Amino acid sequence: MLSRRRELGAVIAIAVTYSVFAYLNPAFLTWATFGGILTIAAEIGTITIGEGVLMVSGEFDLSVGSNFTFSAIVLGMLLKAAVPAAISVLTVLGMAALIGLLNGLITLRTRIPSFITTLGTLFFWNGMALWVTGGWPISFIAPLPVLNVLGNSTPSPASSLHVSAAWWAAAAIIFWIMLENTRYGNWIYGTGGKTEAARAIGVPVDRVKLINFTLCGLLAGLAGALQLGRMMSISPVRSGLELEAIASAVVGGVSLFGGMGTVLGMVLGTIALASIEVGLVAAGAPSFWYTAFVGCVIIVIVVINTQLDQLIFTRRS
Amino acid sequence: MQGKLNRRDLLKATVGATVAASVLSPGQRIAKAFAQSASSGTYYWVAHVGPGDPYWAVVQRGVQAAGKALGVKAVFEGPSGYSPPKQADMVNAAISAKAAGIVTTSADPAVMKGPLQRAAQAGIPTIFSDTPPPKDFAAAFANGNPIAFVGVDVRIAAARASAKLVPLLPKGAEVVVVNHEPGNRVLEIKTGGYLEGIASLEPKVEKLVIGEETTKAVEIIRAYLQKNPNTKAIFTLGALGTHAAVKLLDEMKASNDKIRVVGSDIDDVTLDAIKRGRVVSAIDLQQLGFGFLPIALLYLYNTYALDPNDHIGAGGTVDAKNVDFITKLAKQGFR
Repeated sequence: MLSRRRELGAVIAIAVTYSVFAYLNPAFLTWATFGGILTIAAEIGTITIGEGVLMVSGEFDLSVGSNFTFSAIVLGMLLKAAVPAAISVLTVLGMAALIGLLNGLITLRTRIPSFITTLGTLFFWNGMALWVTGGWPISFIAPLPVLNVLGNSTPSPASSLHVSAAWWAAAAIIFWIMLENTRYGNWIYGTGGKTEAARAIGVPVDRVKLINFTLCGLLAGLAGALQLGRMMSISPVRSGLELEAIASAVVGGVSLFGGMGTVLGMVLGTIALASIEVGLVAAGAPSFWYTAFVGCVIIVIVVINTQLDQLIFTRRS
Repeated sequence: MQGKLNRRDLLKATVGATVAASVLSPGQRIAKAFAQSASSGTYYWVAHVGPGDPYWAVVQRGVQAAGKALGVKAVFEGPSGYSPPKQADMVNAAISAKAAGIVTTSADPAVMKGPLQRAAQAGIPTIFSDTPPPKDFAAAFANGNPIAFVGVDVRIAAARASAKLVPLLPKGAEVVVVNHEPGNRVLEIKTGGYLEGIASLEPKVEKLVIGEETTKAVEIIRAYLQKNPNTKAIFTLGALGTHAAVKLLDEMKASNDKIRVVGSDIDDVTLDAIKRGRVVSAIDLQQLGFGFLPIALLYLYNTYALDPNDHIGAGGTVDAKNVDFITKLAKQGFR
């Protein structure tokens, strides 16, 4: 039971965050604030699901931030070139998935750590983004219908909640079903947890990892499209989202060593970090406290999860 | 806190509304003034990058000084690295926190359009600072919010600084503009201003991305100069680029007239380099005012319905003539 309750740390982080920031500014406990939190969480949360599932299978992808930016840039360029919206979006999602697939192929064929492979592709795709844009952001003055569908629509004109949160929720449900209710989900846990044992009972470990690299790339591209939709602009400057995604997954209980983690935890971890970001602004605290806070939260949550692991081990033995 | 009025709030609201009603503006303004002064919220200055950059650290100081002088809570916010999307998220968070007023920049105006419209719908006054938005976006903001722009036209400031090079360089000189923050619209405008100032020389211009890490930036410029030994001038777009260029030229023991440097933003290294003749001139954006003035204007707008209604400019150039005085101000933290 407890092995699937590693998201407890994220729940504690959210509870503490809401208590502290609501005390400092009661306006923090409003639907407007929560809508803003979900909107911020939507893009990073979409990346976190792909990254988290890949981490459960025992690999990393550090290039998700660059994939995110490059995909959004290519989508912006296609739309500006008047390529039909559906074709543009599908092309970009396909390209993002291929970037993930490439990471997987390099890692699995050459047997070099995914940390190194994706560090290289992080810089490569960042360079490509700067090259194709010449350093300029790609912006839309008037919103296109496809941008509204991806991220710009809100339930009401003054609402802080954007449609991008619905895309994130859809991705979370699909990946939750995949991870918790399918044989493939069991293969992922087996691949990341006890790789050799999984291989021995016939789990296609390399294929599982390759598919997860591809899905991770796909979700990074989707997140890029969501941000382009919400902001109507994308800058080629490196986003640094890869570390935020890993941090969100870890806070949500995903093990850095693979084999453990849930989609619910990834969602809660993302909400916890987004709440801290918004809460600090609402409290009027300097925003550079955010990274310091996140550092503390990660350490505390990992300590809680480690204690939980020891408790599970003690009970089993 | 929110929603509860204390005596001071009521006094502020009453004075604000009464003064506005009796002296200044029609009914709509009065209502707005009353509503805003009653909110007793925080004034937010939200930049596209955080105070880790010395330039923004001075803006933050201006914000703090304004808060202290006016007796209001005024805070400076900004992401740790250049990120207009995170800036927009912070503006949205400030709106949700029922800010009394918001100052922000237009590094990427498209990103800021939605949050500023939300602020307008929430009745929160906003001001653009640092650099004005481009003309094609001006129409989108023509509904009275932001209520003003406080800052400098960096194109003009850059042109003034680079014009000092005209008597020092030959016609057709090779020059390079080093960019530490590609993707930042303001830096591209600054580049355009630099080139405008030396247009009469018909220079051969190249742009070089150097990144945000000084050691790497030095080596990138070194490699560039090895490949392009006839380079006559380096234009930098911020303190980081100036530091890298000055460090490299000092290491190379290059004479001051071999490669000229024109920089942007003021700090100890830049001022010392101007004194030594290593840097010819630098843009002095006087960013303390960018921090202070918008907060003061928002306060006056909320309390007395004073509408700034126009472009309030600032910014100048530092060179050998005024470098001593500016150094004194920089030591006091005003540059």
